[in-house]
Amino acid sequence: MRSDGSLRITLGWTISAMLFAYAPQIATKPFWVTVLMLGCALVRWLGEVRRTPLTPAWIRTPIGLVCFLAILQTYGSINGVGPGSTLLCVMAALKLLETRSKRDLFVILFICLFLILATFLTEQHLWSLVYLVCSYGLTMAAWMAVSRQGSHLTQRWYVAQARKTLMFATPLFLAMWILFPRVPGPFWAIPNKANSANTGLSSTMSPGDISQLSESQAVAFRVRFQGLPPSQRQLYWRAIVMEHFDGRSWSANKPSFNRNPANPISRRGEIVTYKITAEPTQRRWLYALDMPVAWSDEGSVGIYPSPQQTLQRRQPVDELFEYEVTSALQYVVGRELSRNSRTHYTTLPPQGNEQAREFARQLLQRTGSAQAMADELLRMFNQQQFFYTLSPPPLGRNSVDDFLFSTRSGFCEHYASAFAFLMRAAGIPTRVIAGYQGGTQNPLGDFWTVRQSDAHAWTEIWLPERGWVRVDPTAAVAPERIEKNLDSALRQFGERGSATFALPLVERLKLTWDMANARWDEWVLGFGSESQSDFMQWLGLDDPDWRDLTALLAIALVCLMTSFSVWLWYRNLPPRGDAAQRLYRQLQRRLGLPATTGETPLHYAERASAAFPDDAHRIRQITHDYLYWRYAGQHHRRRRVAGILRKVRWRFRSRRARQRAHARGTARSNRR
Amino acid sequence: MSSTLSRSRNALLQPLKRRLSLWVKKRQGDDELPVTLRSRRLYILPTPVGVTFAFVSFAMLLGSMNYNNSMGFALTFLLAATGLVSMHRCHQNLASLSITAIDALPVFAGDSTTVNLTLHNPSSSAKFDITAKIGAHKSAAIDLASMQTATLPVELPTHQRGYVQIDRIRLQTGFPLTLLNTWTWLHVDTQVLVWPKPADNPPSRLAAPSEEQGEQGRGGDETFAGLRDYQPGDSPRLIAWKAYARTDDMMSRQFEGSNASRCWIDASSLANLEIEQALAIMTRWVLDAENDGDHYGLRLPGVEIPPAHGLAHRNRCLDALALAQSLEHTHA
Repeated sequence: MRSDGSLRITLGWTISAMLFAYAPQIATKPFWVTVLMLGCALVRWLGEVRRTPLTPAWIRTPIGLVCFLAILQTYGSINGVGPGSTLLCVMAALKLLETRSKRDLFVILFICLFLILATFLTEQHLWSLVYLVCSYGLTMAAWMAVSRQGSHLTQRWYVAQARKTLMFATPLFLAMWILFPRVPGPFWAIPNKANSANTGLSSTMSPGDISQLSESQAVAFRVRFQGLPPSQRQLYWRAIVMEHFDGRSWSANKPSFNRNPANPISRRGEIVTYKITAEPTQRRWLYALDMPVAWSDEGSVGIYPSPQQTLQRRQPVDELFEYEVTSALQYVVGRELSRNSRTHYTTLPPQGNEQAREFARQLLQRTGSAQAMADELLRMFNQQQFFYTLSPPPLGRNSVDDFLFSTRSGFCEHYASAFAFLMRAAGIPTRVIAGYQGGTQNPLGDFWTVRQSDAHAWTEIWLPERGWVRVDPTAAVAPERIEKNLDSALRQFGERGSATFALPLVERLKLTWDMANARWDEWVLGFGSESQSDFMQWLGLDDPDWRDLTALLAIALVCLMTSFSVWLWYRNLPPRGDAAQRLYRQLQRRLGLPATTGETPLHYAERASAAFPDDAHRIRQITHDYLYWRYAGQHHRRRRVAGILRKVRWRFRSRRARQRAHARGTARSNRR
Repeated sequence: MSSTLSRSRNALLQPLKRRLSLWVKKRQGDDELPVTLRSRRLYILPTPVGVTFAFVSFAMLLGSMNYNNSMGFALTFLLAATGLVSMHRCHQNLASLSITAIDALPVFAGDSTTVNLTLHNPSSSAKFDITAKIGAHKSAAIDLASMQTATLPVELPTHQRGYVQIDRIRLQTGFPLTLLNTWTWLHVDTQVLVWPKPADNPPSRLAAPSEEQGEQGRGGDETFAGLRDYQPGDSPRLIAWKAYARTDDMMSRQFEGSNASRCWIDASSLANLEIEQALAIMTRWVLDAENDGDHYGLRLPGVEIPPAHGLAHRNRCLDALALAQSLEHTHA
């Protein structure tokens, strides 16, 4: 066993690299993996410091077996990113216990690289750039330490070398990033990320679902409007239409994919076009303003409209997805409603919420029409004692009755649900829409950010001659929610919102961070074959394909590597002597008077001043400064020498001038 | 199992290696010191670590494509760029290095000789992690700062007396990440003389018939015999400092005992022994005589070194023993 102390430094670097690469996964991995990693690192480190023998195989093997079974127990299989990376962690930790040769250490460093990749498969936010640079740097420093094991190099040297490696690699890296043809995957397995927890809307809505969401500041999507954005109160981002009610929850139909939806939207008035960058949801639905009339239909993933005027994809949104939509803010949709649909949109469970049913029937009788009934209901929400709150009291089995007649406080889903129930009970076709309302404009980046806290639910009722009409009961209870945002609405009802920062500086920082994230999403995560073809077109190549990209990449790499090797060659040339000497030689060249072998600077100065009496003072000054610079280490004299030298150079810039000066000097000394 | 495998692999590779080395020698020609390494004579290939690195990068590329993962691409490209960059750095790390001297001191068979390579780095950048290899014997790694000169010692075990011919020396570096190995072959005519291994239990030197006279008259009553050229190993007491001051030539004074007290180490006295055995015994005698401060001479077939004393003399005797062909002529 090696324990000459040289392994200790190497081991330290390797353990640091391993733990750093693992660090971001602490939260997502089972707790015992972290314990195992730290434990193995500690045991191995102490063993090296105290020079005790390595952990024997009869201890390591059972641990490995137990870990393997634990992985199977936790994940159910060893396929996939989660169990795969956990297996890697276990391998790295156990490998550490038996590490003694260079080869073992390299194995751990290779596992480190895979762990970094595994982290990116689950997280790619802006901070992951910092993580990439740090973990790469640390791994390379460790790599350098393993390569030079046993040498007496300082820790700083390893860090400097890692930095150099990163610095040199960056230009090549950028060329590959921009020009390497991005072939859209997947090749083997469709990445299964459904189990990774994502906050967001779901296809069912029970009381409390959206109020829970509203505590999350996670970004749902970002929007960039072409032209002027609509006013805040018009920003109804529809995502899911819910048609079924089971007495407590509303739920959506199974998606159907039909190029030509049954209910075409006829637009009235202005339209607005915008680009949406949606964060991954693992769901099929997309977001669009009420009502989408046109959308981008490029690429392999087509966008399909649903019969309920929402947009959806055939495949789940498992990565950033960018698409363009045009919406009509005034519209008429579904003016004709078949008998079947009419029944479908008025269906309620046969029993429950009797009080509400009765109330609805009476209300319709009193008001006479669907429109009047809706108005009456909204007035009721607005003027009676209804409260808008994030934490409403729990509801019983007859949730609508409880809400309407006893608790009278709830979030948007309570109001939407109760309103839809009452309308349906009165025989008016009604549906519940889940989506987002509003958003925050980021003045720094000229885009809007819609967060999970903007999640909202509203309703649409069907009126003869007018088709589906949006009715938002929440707007009646808490108009602030629609006019401004959730925070100000909650403040009105005496509740503090989740965002408590009011300082302008903090606000500004938040906006900056938000913008940086948006740019990151747009330029880095969203970078793909489309951005590449844009780039190629910018370069002047029409209709580029992957062959052009490859050719360009090859050219770029050859150019970069050639210049790098020229630079290395230049650095390999012999040093050019010290700067002081070079400047002093320059003086001799300028004067056209080389110093003889063994002539001291002072002797030379005398000879030169005699030959060039006009410059005698300068020559003596330069010599004086040069000597102090060279032999007394007074480096500040460099500038003075250079300055005087420039004057000398100026006078003797041509051979003739030099000869003339020389002749004058000789004549003068002759006269004397 | 693995040893059989490696043996059969060696059997396959050996002729190939020999032909390759012949080709390299033919291509480069013989070297004269000092040798400055130009890229024409530098060879570069990936190490097993480098090959693994390439495989890992490729696997990561496939993974990133499959998951269409931007940061995965970033990591992959960073690794690929690192590999390419380290190729250039590795090559340049050996280029322009110069080898100014190769020397080795004689040793007794069975001991290790140290072949010292004197390296000079004439470039303005530092060189790292340079090792030399002779056959299977590898030196430690050294670093050379800009304009630095250093020696790189290679320990070379010896087995037999006589000249050890060093066919070629491999100078190599794995800097910066041991992903690649750059090397060069030096064909500098280098010989190391290996003296016979001294016998452990020799017959007594005094009992040998070549002993002519007793041990008297050393020291005091020696008379000055003359001056001869200084040889390394001569005692400073023997140096003619006055002559040195006069002429700038370093001379050693030579003394001759009036009662010439010398012993002869004669091969004929051991004629009944096998040659290596006899040489081993004589080697021991030479060392003992030198240690005891005797004046001793050496007689081998065709060689007669008159009795003298001192390190230079001892080395001369040992050289003669190392190169002795046979002991046959003694009887003639």
